Amino acid sequence: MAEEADEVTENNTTLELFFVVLIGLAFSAALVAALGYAFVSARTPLVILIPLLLLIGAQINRTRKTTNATTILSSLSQVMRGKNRKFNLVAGMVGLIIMLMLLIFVAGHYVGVATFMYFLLNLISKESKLLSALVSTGVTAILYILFEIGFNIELYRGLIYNFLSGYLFA
Amino acid sequence: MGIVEGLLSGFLQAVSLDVFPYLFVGAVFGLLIGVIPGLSGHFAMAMIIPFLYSMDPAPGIAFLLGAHSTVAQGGGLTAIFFSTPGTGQNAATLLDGPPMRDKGLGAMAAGAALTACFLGATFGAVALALLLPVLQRIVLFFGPPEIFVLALLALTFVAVLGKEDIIRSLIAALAGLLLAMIGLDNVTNTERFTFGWLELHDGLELVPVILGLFAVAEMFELWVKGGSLSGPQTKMLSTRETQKQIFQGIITAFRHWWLILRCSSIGAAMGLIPGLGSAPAAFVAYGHAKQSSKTPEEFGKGNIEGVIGSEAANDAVEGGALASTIAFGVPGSSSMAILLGALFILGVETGPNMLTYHVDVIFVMIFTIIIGNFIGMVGGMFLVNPLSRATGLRASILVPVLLVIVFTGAFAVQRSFFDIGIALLFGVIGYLMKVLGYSRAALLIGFVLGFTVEKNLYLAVQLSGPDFIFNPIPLTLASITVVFLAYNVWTIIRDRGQSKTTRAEQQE
Repeated sequence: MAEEADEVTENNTTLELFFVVLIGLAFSAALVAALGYAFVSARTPLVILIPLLLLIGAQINRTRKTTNATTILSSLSQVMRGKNRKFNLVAGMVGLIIMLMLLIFVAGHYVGVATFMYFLLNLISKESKLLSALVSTGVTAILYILFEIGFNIELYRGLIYNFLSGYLFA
Repeated sequence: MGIVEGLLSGFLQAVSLDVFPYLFVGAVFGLLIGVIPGLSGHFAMAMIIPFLYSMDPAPGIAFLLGAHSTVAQGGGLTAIFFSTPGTGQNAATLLDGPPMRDKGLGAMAAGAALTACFLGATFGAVALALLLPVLQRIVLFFGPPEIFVLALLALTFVAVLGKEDIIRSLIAALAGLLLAMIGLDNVTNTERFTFGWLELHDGLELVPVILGLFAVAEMFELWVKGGSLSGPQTKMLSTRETQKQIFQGIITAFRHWWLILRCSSIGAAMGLIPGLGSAPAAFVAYGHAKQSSKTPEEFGKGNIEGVIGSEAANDAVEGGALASTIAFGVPGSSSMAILLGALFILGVETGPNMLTYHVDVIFVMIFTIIIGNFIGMVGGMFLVNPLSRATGLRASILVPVLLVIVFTGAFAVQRSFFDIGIALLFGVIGYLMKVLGYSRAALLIGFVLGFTVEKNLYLAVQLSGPDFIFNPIPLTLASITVVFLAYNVWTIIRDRGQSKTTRAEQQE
């Protein structure tokens, strides 16, 4: 139990180091961009960016002190070998959501969300076929009633539907 | 609009057929979300935001605040019956709720908690109504320089007083402010930080950011956690026994009216301070209840006063928190930041304009809190057993369902795939922030306040020149900010020095 807790802390330290370095790089790019704006437009961003980058620097330094290269490499190798359960689950879910976006784009919102839910429930979570089908069709029907009838918001019909309706794009 | 006129109009709107159904649905939704561990008030509000675009102000506010107001009541039930706080703000209820359940008095604790929540919320709402005449006068002294410095003060309070580490929270707050700068600059029409993306010209949309930070991130966490949402299930009492105990709990809560009044005052006062939130208020109230009790030794072993005190303070916070949001447009918590965003969407302007011309809207909020909590109390009383079953839901079922609702909401606002991408991106960022202890509340408040900060800084410099900071109110507020920040930094350095000395002594 204690070893597991240590592993989580080590992984979190490595994760934080990557997180702060990444946002540090993003905000450094923002600083470079801000320096090119007119003074009135750059004033507020610069007032925010300078202390922000200093704080990020301090945090990188603080995080770096609590870990060492061996720990970082070991955590990284764990992730690369697919041994980090949390990372696998979150990365897998992000991938599935990107698939959902593509599915909605091609097949439309209702087909997309129903397929996504069925896939997650039945194939990933190993729920029964009946339950998966009932939940995915039920929730899709509720979404239709809520958005299209209740709030008069038309959801995207998809490329295939648009193509069949005589439109090539959108 | 006068206060009495606003009060009558607000009440009539809140109970009208155009508004009440939304209030009712929102309150029931909030109760259900509160019962489910892992889903918070922010989640309930985030889920509702996409629907506001097609709603009028009064129903929109009632829907949103109705849901927010009952979340703590649902969370209290879960804390008592399953030893898992439904929301963070119910953590103090864990001290005496579960021991009462173990004594076979769970439903009595639930009845007392629901009633204390309702009375606390009513107290907070009444306190807000009483504060209105004062706020109407104070707000007239607040122009762009004052609002600018006040926004910075609120952001500092949120970053420093939150439960997260101070450096991490300040990073989050400043990052939030910077995110608000994305898009066309209002003054010079210059594109800022768009990096050529046409979709970013109008800046980041508030809805996908909120959905990502608070809904998608929670879903990731539930997905990783897996299994059933609550801890081990306890045996529920029979319906008859439950009802009997609940009514005893209600009577007991009313008998402790003086305790409720004191703890609600603590909650409402702490709600006025940005960044403190409900959880610390509940713990302070719990401490006060213990200190003033005739039987302090029974606290922690199942004393009903502990449940009543913490739950009353918990809900009274909202009245205080609403005051600064309404009067100055400066939210003190992430819930208030979402509310402020919702008010923008509904076309309602906060500040002197609202306090002078739209007092009825404020009273719609006040009556929504009172009626919403009443619905939550009655609903909770009769539905304790069925509601408790919601905690038995598995994450494997809940996550896919809620994710599609969240992404449908993100898409529906502008019918834009880009917004789904933004919700996903902020979902990942929000999850990382939660795991690593960065304050999401500070990020969101910074994001919501970014526009206000920049606009008021620009106007302040135009009106008074760069030395606007030396005007009396800005100077006082800026001094408080600097002293507060410096004191907290000094405390950290001192504590670090002390722990180093202790460690050195131990090694010797």
